[in-house]
Formats: sequence, structure tokens, C-alpha cells
Amino acid sequence: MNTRKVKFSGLSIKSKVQYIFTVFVAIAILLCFVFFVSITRLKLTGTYVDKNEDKLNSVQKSYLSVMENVNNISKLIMINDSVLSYLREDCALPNNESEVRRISDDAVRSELYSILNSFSGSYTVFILKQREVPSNNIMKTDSKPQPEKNITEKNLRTFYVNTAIGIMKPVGDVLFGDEWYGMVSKEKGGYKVVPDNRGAFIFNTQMEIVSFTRIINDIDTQQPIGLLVINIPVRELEETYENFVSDDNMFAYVDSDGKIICSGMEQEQLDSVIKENRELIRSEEFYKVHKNNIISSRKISDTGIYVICSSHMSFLEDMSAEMLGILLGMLVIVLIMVLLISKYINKYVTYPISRLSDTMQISGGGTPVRLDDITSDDEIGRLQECYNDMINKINRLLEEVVDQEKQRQRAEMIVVQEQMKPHFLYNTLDTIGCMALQNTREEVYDAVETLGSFYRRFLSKGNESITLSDELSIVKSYIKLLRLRYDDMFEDFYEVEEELNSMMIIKLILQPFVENSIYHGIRPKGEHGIIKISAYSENNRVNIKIYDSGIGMSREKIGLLLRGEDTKSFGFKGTIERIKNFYQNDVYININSVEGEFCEIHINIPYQR
Amino acid sequence: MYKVMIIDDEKSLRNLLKLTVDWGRLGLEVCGEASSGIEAINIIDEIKPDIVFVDIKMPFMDGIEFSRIAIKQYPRLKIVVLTAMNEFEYARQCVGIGVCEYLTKPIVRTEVTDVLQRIVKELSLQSPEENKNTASEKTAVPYGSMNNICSFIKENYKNSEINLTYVANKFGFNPSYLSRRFKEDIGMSFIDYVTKCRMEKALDYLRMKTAMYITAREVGIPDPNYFSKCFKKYTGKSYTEKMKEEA
Repeated sequence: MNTRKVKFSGLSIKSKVQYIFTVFVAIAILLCFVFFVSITRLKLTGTYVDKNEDKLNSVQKSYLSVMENVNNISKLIMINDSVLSYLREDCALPNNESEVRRISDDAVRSELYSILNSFSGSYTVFILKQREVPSNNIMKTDSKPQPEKNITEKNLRTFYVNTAIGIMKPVGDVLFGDEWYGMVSKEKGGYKVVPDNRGAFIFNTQMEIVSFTRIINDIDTQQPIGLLVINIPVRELEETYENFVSDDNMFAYVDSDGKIICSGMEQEQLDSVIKENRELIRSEEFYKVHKNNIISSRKISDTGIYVICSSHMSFLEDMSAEMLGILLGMLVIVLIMVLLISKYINKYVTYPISRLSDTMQISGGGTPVRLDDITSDDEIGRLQECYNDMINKINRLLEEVVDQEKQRQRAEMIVVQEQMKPHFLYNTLDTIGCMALQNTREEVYDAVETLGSFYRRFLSKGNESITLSDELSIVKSYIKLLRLRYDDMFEDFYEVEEELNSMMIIKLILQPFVENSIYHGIRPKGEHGIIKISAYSENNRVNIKIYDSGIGMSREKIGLLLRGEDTKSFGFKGTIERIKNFYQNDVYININSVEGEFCEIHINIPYQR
Repeated sequence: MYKVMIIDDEKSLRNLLKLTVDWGRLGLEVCGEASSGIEAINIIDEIKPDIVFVDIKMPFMDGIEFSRIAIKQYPRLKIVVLTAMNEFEYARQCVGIGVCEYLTKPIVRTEVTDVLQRIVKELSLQSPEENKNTASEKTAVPYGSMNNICSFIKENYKNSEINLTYVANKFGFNPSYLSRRFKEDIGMSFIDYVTKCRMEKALDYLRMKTAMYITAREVGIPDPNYFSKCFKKYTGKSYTEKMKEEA
């Protein structure tokens, strides 16, 4: 997980955006698809359920009309005199009273045929009665009574008249058994549809029937006198839904036990569906989505028969053409959009950012460069502006620093050149040359030694700071050399605290002022003068004073000098700047003077041990 | 024999020049020296040099200022600038003024000798009449004009440029004629008269307890060293001694 995180964060923004975008778009499309499909499915289900409802209605109607038909037949049979008289007739006493009164089976049968003939449909009618007979007295009829062991024991025998002779044979014990007869008698004169024959009939040929049965009551006594069974061939029921059957629509009749009466479906499949969904044969109405099928069931009237309709939801087929087209279109559009967006991101975000970062990296090594090729006015554009502003500022600061450094170096150069001008050396050399011609060798050597010592200390290996005693040595040598040149015009005195001798101070802090004192203080006065240098510490600071008994300065001149506005005195100004730079402005410089009397320069610097 | 004058604020340099160059062999003679431009202006009329060595960096009046004045007064004067400053700006100014040569310190004898030989050659090519700053003008000078000159001096003693040639040019005289006439009429040399005027004024200032360098400036000798020399010559005492005496 962590490595994946690291991997992801290591990607470029472009890839990140593409990655995230693709993932989100994929999720969005998937969600849309799922929503769409489920909503469509729901809607489709509704539609199919409605359709099934309609079909079920129709099938139910057909079924009911079939039943109504059969019912009408049964009613006609029940009020038929021949039938009634056949049933009323006691079979226990056959042939012993009048033959006239006895209604033959054939007559009844022809009556039944005539009734059936007025109805469409091929039904088989059984009219059954049970009579007690002596065990030895065996009734001889055309109707081929079926003697059974149980019946003979009870001395009950079943007599019947039927149509379609020879196709099926009733089993009297079953029909008059508790199960069948009890069930029918519960109807109290109403009919009962028995979907399976429950062993009540024996068929000569393979056929399936649904039995319509009711008890026939005597019109006068309202006592049950017989049993009517009309067998409806299953084919008749199949006809009720035949019109609706198609590849997608299947129908089936099922009884309340889940036994399939007839169906256009595959038997096993339907069985398993019913087993899994007992609700189909429990509720009045029910539907279930099974795989791609909508299976609807309905209890038809109160006869315990259910009709089941299964319609295939051709969902994918419906979808495929347009939906897949739309989906593909969407995918293509989304892909194009992803491409466009990544291009846009590349052009307006990634590229400018990488340009910026590249430029910044280049800037890291050398002078910062401006960036001008981002023209957009958005955050990136502002970033560029900010960057450029920053670069400008940095460049300006750099320039300032360079300028300052240049100025500082110039000031230093001016000091070195102004104060230590080579002409001092040249003049001194001429002086020594003159001495060599006029004076003693010792004096010449002394002068050369002084000059050498002066320059060695003055250059001081390029160090910026030297000890105060070295600085004083420079001044002493300098004065000594000047005195050689200007005929002992002045004397020098020193008052320096012993401990300050080893203090480090900025080089050439004294010499320029001493030179100033001589050239602009003492010489213009034309009198013998003195120079006095004193140094003392006070409150952890050092005071250095350079006193000369020269012509002094006017207040105006002092003001100009201290403010650095005197353009003529380069040396003075440069020296002060240099000292201020060295001590980071922690310097106080003051000039005390009386015109024609003296001038004293007072420098106050921090005590740096 | 051409006359040479050396102007430098350092005595040692003046001495060095005098000692290192074999003047006689070149047909030259060092006739005078001055430690400042001011002093030089004051004594140039007496020395009448043909060649002048001058330093640039000098107090009160630098070499360039001096050269300008000197060339105005003596157009044929050969001026050799000898300086430790090897700066283009100075050289340019010198050429503009009409300075003959520009030499740099420290002195290299061969250089100096070569320059001097060339100058001597140039001088020898000039006709002696031309060379001599004389004009045998015998124009009578009315006595009144001598008085005018005296009062001009009394009024303009502050001007440090004043010397014989300056006044002669001003009043339209030949300087040597004026010098001669002045001595005859007034009884002292022109420069002595100017100095006298200045020293009398200086004594006034001295009585006012004015510092020497200020007095020097006020009386037209802004070089206090030369002033002090003149003062001592005139009064026999130094300025400070005299001041003590007065007090």
C-alpha cells in the first residue's frame, strides 16, 4: 500500500490527473450503466408483469368459459329426466318389476349424447350410482359393471352410464371413496374440478384428463342420488392458452399441490421453479423474476387451479442495439474527453509547471532568468508573474549587493590610492636619493629601513585588520618619512593605553587622518606644529583621537565632512565609510576644532579584544 | 648659459635635481629655486629663467596654476613639469597651457638630461633678440604713471599674482625698462616695494593678533612659509617673535 502510494506520488501531475480521471470516469460510467440497467430492468419487469397479467386474464377467461361450458352441460344433465329416472331406479331389483318403467342405459346414453352434441368440446360424461345388491345377484348390463372384491364384501355395487365407451373405465370404489366423494360433497351441490384422476379412471389409451365432478341431487327430495363426472381432456385446457404461446411466453396449469396439469414448459424446469417458489401456488396472485423470466401465477377462481405464465424478458436483446451503441458512443466520447483534458492539462498545467520548475532549476545554478512564455491569465499565469516578480526582486537585490560590494571596493581602492598614493613612494625615493648624495650612510639606511617597515605594515599581507600598535607603527614611519621631506615641520606625540596595543582595529584608521592633519592642518599654517594621537578605552569602547595644531576647520566644513557632502575630500569620506562598513555602523566620529588653533578627530569604536 | 629655476615644495627634491644633473656640461645654470608657486611668482622677475622645473602638487598655488601665470608673462619660458602624479588629466592640462615637457618622479637622470638637451637646442635656435625679453623701448614714462603704479600696488597687494611683469603688462611697459625706471624713481626694486607694502599691512594684522597663515593670505602671500621668510627679511624677526614683542 505504501509503495503504491509512493509510486503514485512519484508520478507527474499529468499522469496523476490522467490516472485519477480515468479511474473516476470508469467508475462513473459503470455506475451509470448499473443504474440504467437496474432501472430499465425494474421498468421492464413492471411492463412484463402487466403483460403477464393481461395474458393471465385472457387465459383465465378462456378457462372459465370452458368450465362454464362444462358446468352448463352438467346442469342440463342433472335436470334430464332420463338421467334422473336412471338414478332413481333401484338397481337392486332389476328386471323384476315392469320393464317399461325401467329406463335403459342406452336411452340415457343417447340423451347424454344429444346434450353433448349441442356443445363444442369433446367431453366424456359419467353418471354413476351405487346400489346395495345381494352378493350373488350379479347385474347384467351393457355398462359392464366392475365387480371388485371390496365392493362385493360390502355388497355395494357401482352402476354407471357413460359416453365414449371403451376409452376409459371408472373405478367405483375410488369415486365413491371418502377422498373423492367426500371432497365433492363438501361442495354442497357445487362442482369440483379434480385435475388428476387419482386412479379413478382406467384408460385404454394414453390420455390426460381433468375431471369435472359434482353430486347429482334428486330434484324433488334434494337428496344425492348419483355422481356426475365430466372428463375434460387436457388438450381442451391447452387450447385456452394456445394463442399466447410463443418462444418467449409459456403457460402452465398447476394444482395447489404443485402438480402440473399441463404446460408448454419443460417439466423439470417448472418443477424446480415451483419447488423454489411455493408462493406461486399459495397466493391469489404472485410474480417472480427468475433468471430472465418473469413468472406470474394466478389462482383461477376458487377451484384450486393455478395458471402460471412465464415470459422471457429479452432484456439484453432489447438493450443491445441502441444501448450498446450509446454505451460505446459514451465510451468513445469519454475517451476523447480524457484525451482532450489530458492535452489541456498538459498545455495549461503540466507544461507551464514543468517549464517553471525547469527554469527554477536552471536558476539554481546561475543568474535567475525571467520566464515569459506562459500567457494564460490563471493561477499558473499568476505563478509565473509571482516568479518573475521574485526573480526581479532577487536580481535587483543581487545587483544591489554587487553594487554595494563594488562601492565598498571602490571606497577601499580610493583610500588605498588616495592615502597610499604611489607618489608618496616616488617622492620618498627622491628624498632618500637626495639624502644618499648629501647625508651620511647611516641616515640613508635609516630612511630606507623606515620606508621598508612602513610598506610592510601598510600592506600587512592584505589583512583588513591589524593591531593598534602596528597601526601606530605605520603612522610613526609615515610621519618620520614626511619629516625627512618637510624639514621637521612638526612633532608627533602618542598617548595610548598599554592594553590597547594588542587590540585589533581596521587597518589604516589613523594614517589617512594624520596625512590630512599634516597637509591640510599644519602645512598651510606655516608654523611648527604638533600631532598627537591618543587612544583609551571607556565602557568597553575605544576612543581614538587625532589632534593637530593646524589651521583647524570651520563649523560648515566640519558639517560637510561629517555628512559626507564634501566632494573634495575623497580620502576623508572614503576612510569614514570604510570604518563604518567594518564596524557595521557601530562607529561614532566627531570633529572638534577651533579655527586657527587646532583640529581633533574623535573616533569611537567597539572594543574588540 | 641658460638660466634654470627649480620650484618644488620639497627641499630635498630641489637639491637632488641640482646635484644629479651636470648643468655646466649642458650649458645651463641653476639660478634660483622656490618652495612654492607663490614664491616663484615673486622672484621670477629677478631670476628671469629660461627653463623652469615645477612640481604639480604644491600647496597654495599648484604647478599648473603657476605655469599658466608664468607663460602668460613669459611666453618663451620653457616649463618642465616634474611630478609624482602620472595622471592623464594633469598631462592634458599641461599641454593645453603650453608646458614643454612632462616628467615623472622618481627622477631618472638620463630622462632629465635628454629633455634638457632638447630644450637647449630649441633655445639656441631662437634669435638672441627674440630670446631676450628686452625691447629697447625708450618711451618716457611720466612721473605720474609711476605714482599710479605705486598706488595700484598699494590697492592690489592682495593679489598674489602681482609681480613686475604683471604690472608692466598692465601699464604697457617693457618689464626690464619698468624695473630700471622703478628703481630709479622709487629707490628700491619693484619686488621689494611690493613686499614692503605687504609687510606693512602684515604688521597691521599682527597688531590685531591675527594668525600668521591668515595674515599671509590677507596680504597676498598665501604661502605662510614664504611669507614668514619675507617677514623675517623685512622686520628681522619672525612673526611669532614680533607678535610677542608687540604684546
